Amino acid sequence: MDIVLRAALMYLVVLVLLRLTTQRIMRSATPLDMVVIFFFGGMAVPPILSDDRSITGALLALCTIAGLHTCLSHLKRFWPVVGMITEGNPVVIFSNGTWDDAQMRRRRVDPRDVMAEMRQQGITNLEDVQSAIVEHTGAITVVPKRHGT
Amino acid sequence: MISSTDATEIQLEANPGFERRWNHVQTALQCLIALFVSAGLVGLFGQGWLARATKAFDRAPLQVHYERLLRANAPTEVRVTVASPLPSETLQIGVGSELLEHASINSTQPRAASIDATASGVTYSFRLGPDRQGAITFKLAPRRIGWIVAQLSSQGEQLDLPLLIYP
Repeated sequence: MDIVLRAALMYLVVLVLLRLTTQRIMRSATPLDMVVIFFFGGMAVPPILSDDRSITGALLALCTIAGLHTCLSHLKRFWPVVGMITEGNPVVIFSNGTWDDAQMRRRRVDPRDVMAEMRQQGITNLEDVQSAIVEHTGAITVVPKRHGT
Repeated sequence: MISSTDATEIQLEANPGFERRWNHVQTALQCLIALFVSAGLVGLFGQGWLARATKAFDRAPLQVHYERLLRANAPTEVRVTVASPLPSETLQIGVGSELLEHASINSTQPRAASIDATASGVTYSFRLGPDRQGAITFKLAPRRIGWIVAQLSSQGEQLDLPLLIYP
């Protein structure tokens, strides 16, 4: 029982801390983001398993985390607020030549992140961009201007 | 189900038959995970109310609190409490060889005054003091998996403790 409770607590703690710390880890694995993943991964396991080195204990912890993850994934389909809390919402940070500094500060995104995404899409000039959006997944979507607009 | 050609002109190697079968397997596995975690919560794999057990010697005023469901390589405790004053200030507890073969006794609390090997296992002697009461804790580390009947003895009596040690 203890392992299940400890695994559930650590899952929620890491989820909240990741949400607060950075959203873009899976999309842009810069050293700044990766260091968080490494430390979180290393520090979350010992409190869950403690001195327990049994296979059953490890299975219980893994299944608890898998179960919680599945539950939250289902819950956010029924209650969008769960998705908003755990993942956030898309936010426009650039539109028609204007940067939204307040949103960029909150999302800790700088113009270089947008430029990198632009270049990956083959866009080399900011003037060709209609808008840039930080998605709830942490990805940055660059919407190019349509021809003739 | 929307077919790949309906959805997009991009050629996909979709396999609806496999996806349908996989969805069934996935649902079954998710139910198994839910059952496994629920069983863990109630202590079916140790450290819960299903695992905890208490047994008492017939004549000696000793109670043994232990976990009957254990995990190999996970520490556990066996606690022997003296319910009423004993005739002597010294309490001797014998631990049978069956338990010693499956688990290591890392330490006791309080420390034993003496530990003697016997034909049937090991005998621990504890000084209880003038109250002739107290509690003794054996800190165990199960090593080998399986179903065993651990034996404790004291005051000429023997107590069987059925244990199941998971991997």
